[in-house]
Amino acid sequence: MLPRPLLALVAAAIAVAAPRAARADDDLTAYAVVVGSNPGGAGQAELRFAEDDARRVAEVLRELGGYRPADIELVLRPEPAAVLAAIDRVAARAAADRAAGRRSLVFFYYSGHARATALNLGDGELPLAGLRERLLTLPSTLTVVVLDACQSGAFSRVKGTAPAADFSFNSRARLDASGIAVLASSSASELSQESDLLGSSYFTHHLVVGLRGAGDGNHDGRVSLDEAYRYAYHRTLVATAATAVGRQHVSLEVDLKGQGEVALTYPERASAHLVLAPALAGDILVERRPAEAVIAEVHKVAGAPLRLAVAPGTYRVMVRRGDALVRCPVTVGDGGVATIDGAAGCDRVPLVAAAGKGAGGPRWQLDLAVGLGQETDDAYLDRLRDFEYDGGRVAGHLTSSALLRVHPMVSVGGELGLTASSEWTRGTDAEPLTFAWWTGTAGAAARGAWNRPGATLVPFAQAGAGLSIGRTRFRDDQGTTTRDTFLGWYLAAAAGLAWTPFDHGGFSIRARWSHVPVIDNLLGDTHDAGGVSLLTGVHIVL
Amino acid sequence: MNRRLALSSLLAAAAASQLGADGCPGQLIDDRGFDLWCGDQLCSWQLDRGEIARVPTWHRGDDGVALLGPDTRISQRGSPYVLATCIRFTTIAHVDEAAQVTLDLDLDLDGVIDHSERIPTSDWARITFLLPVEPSRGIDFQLTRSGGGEVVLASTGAELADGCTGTPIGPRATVDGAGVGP
Repeated sequence: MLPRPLLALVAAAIAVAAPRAARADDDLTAYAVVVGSNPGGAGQAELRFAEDDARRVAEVLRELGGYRPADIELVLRPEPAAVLAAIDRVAARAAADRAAGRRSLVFFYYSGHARATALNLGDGELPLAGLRERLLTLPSTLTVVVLDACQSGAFSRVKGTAPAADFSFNSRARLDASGIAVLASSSASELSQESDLLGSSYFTHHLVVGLRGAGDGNHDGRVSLDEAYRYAYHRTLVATAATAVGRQHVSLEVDLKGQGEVALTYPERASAHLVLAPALAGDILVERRPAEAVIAEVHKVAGAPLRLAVAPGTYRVMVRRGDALVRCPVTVGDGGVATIDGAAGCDRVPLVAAAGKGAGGPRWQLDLAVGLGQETDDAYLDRLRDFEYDGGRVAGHLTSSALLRVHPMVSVGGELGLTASSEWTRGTDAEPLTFAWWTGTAGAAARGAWNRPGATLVPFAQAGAGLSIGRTRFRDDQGTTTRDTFLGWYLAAAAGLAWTPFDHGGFSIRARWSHVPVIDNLLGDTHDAGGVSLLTGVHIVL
Repeated sequence: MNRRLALSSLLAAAAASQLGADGCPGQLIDDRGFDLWCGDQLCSWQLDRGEIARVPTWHRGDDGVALLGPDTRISQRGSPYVLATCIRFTTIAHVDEAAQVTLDLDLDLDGVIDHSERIPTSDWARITFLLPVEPSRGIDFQLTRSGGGEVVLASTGAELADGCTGTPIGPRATVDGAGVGP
């Protein structure tokens, strides 16, 4: 549900729409100033995705908006003067168009930090008043301003300081002018957020997805400002409903005064399309491969197709419906259309992989692995050799762990380990002497895993520490066996890959290093019974 | 010299298939690990004088021999007919600073010590002597301690080797080719 004031504004804009929509590439020349700035000012943490968001916006304008590359001013991490200079250059071109009797549209986008009175561009500030004057006095026929101003938070970075200082709210009030529309990332009482999962701000991500065709509500092959707003509004609201910061309402204020419906993009003209089949329903994630960049994250209901304009290339479409997760690899060429119905060419994957970054996925990981390793060559082994014992440095390893996920990428719990040495022997004039040992470890462990949506192959690193026990077995030339027990501590670290092709698990492989200084001899040497090992085993998720 | 050449010829055939004292190729003495004990005495080594004891080394199940008292000697005769020109003698020794331990060789078993090497102060280090020798009717290996402090020997052996340099040790000969090495 849209806020009433905004509904009224949108309705007003639609009411004054001219019969013929403005087109960005025939009678309306389009220019863009796209600004992205990650650095924050004093007291503001650096953003992660503001500059990437600017690149995405510039890309979608070039691909689908009819903007010539030369007409897009992409300004990244700028000083304030660079932003004003870019606006001035666009203003000069719009003035030339006006002098020649041509209509023009200027699209201004900003993603970065802001306070109530200025944009924060790293250590520099761009006063809001100056920006306002530049935008209000643009000689363009239409001006579309998109503001994604922000500050950082914790898990989802927060955009904007206190709600009262929200740039979008203040700037909208001041930018109210004829032939201008302001699309802002949040309302006056809210903060804006970034998403680690999307690799973008929620708002810009959904705006771009809408511009790629998901927002084309009337299926006329183009996405208008109003359609982009409606799509971004709903999707941003839904996506932020469960975040710690809270819901985020996108706002739109327009004063086009007879300028007609403003078409921002023309997905129908894209060189390649992904079409989500009418019957397909669920939460759908589209990733570009191999970069794994999230192109779209949409919720689709059955009944109508959803057409997304994309660049030719390889994509992976993940469809989740209930507890079922389906992965569909897709390649679409120049001029091609690939239809995804969730069946043909798709395979089902365990839900754990897709939910690895969410809050509702599997919480327990159980691992059991076996392998071989190399004993640490230390003074203890040197002593055995001095006393003419022969033995290998190969040791058998068995490890297990039970870890509870406490963060999308972090699990903690316990681990057990068992290591068995090779047998060392020394010949005598009677029976040979034999010597061997094993060590057991028990301790706490923590694992960091690079979970990605839909990924079945997850790299991880694990560390552990705790107590150890060592047992030696010595058999003399009379067949008498002597056993000794030692107690100590251990440290361990491992890195590997977990492959989960099944619903509740799969396999893992890891390289492990451990330091287990627990076995002593009578001459003061201590053996590190750990060493480096390579293990493989089963990986269970519950 | 003629006598030695004749002896060499006589022993050549036996030496060609020589296996050593304990059946291991090239080994000249038995029970190199001091593993075989007959009561409180070593089975393969002879206690010439003094007192010895069975003591643990790196592990309580792997024994060595402690040479006790101010004057103790153990000995073992090597193969009775040895065509050896180079012998590697090794021992793992724990020798206190106050103690003196020597390795003495009696070639031809005539009761005359033909060569001596001092086993230095050591904390369980492996000590090796590379000894050039002339062929002989046999070698008596003698380990003697004197002075105070603790002396424990383990993993003590003698075997045929290569790489000796210097004048071969003969009966009553002097030698400059022996040394201590790893």
